[in-house]
Amino acid sequence: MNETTLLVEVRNVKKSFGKVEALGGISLNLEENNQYVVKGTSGSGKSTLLYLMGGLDRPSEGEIFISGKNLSSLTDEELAKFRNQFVGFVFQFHFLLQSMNCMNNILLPGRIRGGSIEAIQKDTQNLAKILGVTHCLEKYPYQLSGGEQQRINIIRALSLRPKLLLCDEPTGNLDSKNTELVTSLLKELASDYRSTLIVVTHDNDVSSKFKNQIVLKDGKLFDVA
Amino acid sequence: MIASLKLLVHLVFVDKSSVRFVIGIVLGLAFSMTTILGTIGIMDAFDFTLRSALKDSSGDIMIQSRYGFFHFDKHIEKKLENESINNYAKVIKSQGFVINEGNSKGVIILGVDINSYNQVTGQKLKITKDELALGFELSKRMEVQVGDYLVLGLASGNSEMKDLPQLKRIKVGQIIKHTIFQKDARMLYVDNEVLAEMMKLGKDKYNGIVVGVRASQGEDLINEITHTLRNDFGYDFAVRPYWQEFGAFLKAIKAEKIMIGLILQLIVVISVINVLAFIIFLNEKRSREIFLFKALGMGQRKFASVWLCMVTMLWAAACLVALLMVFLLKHFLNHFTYFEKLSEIYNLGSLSLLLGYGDYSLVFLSALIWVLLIAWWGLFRMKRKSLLEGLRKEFA
Repeated sequence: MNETTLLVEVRNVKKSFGKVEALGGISLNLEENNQYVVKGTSGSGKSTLLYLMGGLDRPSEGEIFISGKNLSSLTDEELAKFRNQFVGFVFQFHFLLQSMNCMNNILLPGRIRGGSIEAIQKDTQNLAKILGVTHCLEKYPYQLSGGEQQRINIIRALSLRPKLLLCDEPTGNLDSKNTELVTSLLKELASDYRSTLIVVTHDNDVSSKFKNQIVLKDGKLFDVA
Repeated sequence: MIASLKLLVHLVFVDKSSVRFVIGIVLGLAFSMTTILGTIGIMDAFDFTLRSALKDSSGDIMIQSRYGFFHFDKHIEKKLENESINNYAKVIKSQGFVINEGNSKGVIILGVDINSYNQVTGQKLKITKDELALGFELSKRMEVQVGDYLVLGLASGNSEMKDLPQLKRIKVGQIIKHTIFQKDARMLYVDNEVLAEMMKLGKDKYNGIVVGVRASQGEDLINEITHTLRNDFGYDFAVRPYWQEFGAFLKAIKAEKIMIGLILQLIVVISVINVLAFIIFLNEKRSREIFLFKALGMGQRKFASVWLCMVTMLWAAACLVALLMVFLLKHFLNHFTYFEKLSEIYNLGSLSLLLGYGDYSLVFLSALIWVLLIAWWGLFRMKRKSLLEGLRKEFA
């Protein structure tokens, strides 16, 4: 029998932007090394929930525990360190810097962390081979297709072997062929890297690939399957 | 830290417009610091050179009789018995004129005992009893060189106009430079016995004493001894420290230095406004990168330290350029003949820059304070923006 460990614990989290309530009290538990999809219509609060779990923002009310650590109790500095060493982000708009080549974009989290980046470079070569973007590493983002850019983004997200891989509409800008490719790569790599994968999407084709589904509606938990 | 600094430096030097901006800022800041250093340096050099030249030509303290000549007797000698007084020289100071082939000029004549006068002052007079020494500018005006002859003219006395002027043809034995234009243009030295004879003074009659003080570097000690001598000699004698001859001038320089130093801070403020423009430019043009760095785990404290480090590097570069500019300015002042023409106005042989570590520290540190204040403001402005909002805005 497999023992499961709790990685993310969301306790009655609320988030408001001015008078607009994006999340209206959400509680859920997510297990380590598992894969989840968060679904919902536009404005349902799914991206907000993802960013709160990634430490990019703080909840207005409630608490989020990651590996037993309360994110609300962390200082800005500790939260930044948490984002660097614990979380990998894959965004819809890949967030690659046009002024750096892809290898340097991938090495950004490692450089921000400090210390040696040799191991990351080695990992990057392996991952690039798996994802079929070895030829892109010395190129600049603007020289790549949307699918290639997103794969570079995935390599960057995994560069520090994060425990939590958070993806916000990772296939939002891709065609159906690349959508299927990127989704399956994310699932495979998260499994290989023993990262907990949380994907936010409104695409049913993507969400159908996940066993664990969290559905949000109007900032509240609508269904967990 | 170094890797993060490299990332930020990459942002600054990523395109040509940013690089040009940085160069402009460094040059602007350097130029404003050079302007202040140059002004302070010229004034300090002026003050220092003038004081040194006065000291070298007049000794530390000058005692001048208010009522004509006095007999140097034991009473006066006793008044000069002070353990802080190193040595002294008796002088005869008078006014007269020199004539050479139709050229004539009024001069101040100093009759001195060469050895004692050289010991008390920094002068290096080398003349015999048949010779005179005169200032460099005076020699130019009279068109004479060493070995030529001049006619020295003296009034016989000022109590009664009963005699004709005394005239004496004397050989030019030495041409000297005092570093002070006015002294070079008016001073003339002869042996005091020769002058006493021309003036029919008799033995041991003088109208002045120049005094050298032990450890004469300290102006406080000179002031103290001056005060003591004033009390001892009484109202019949004027006792003045060497700088008092140009005292008002030196005071004016000191006041001007402070005022100009304050006003020139405006120039620093103007160049700091350029730094401010650069910080705003970076905030706006590189906000995408800055937000991404923060999202990927660069903490505010780390960002702040890297940011301040980068701004400090710009300041340091400006300081280095300023040092180079000051060096060039010094070179121009020392080697370009145009600047020598200003010497008559400034009373000195030439203009130069004199800057100590204190001057450099003051100017560089005040610029650093301005720059850091602006950098802190830039950081504060950045901190106000929410990370999430920034990311969404920049990458949407």
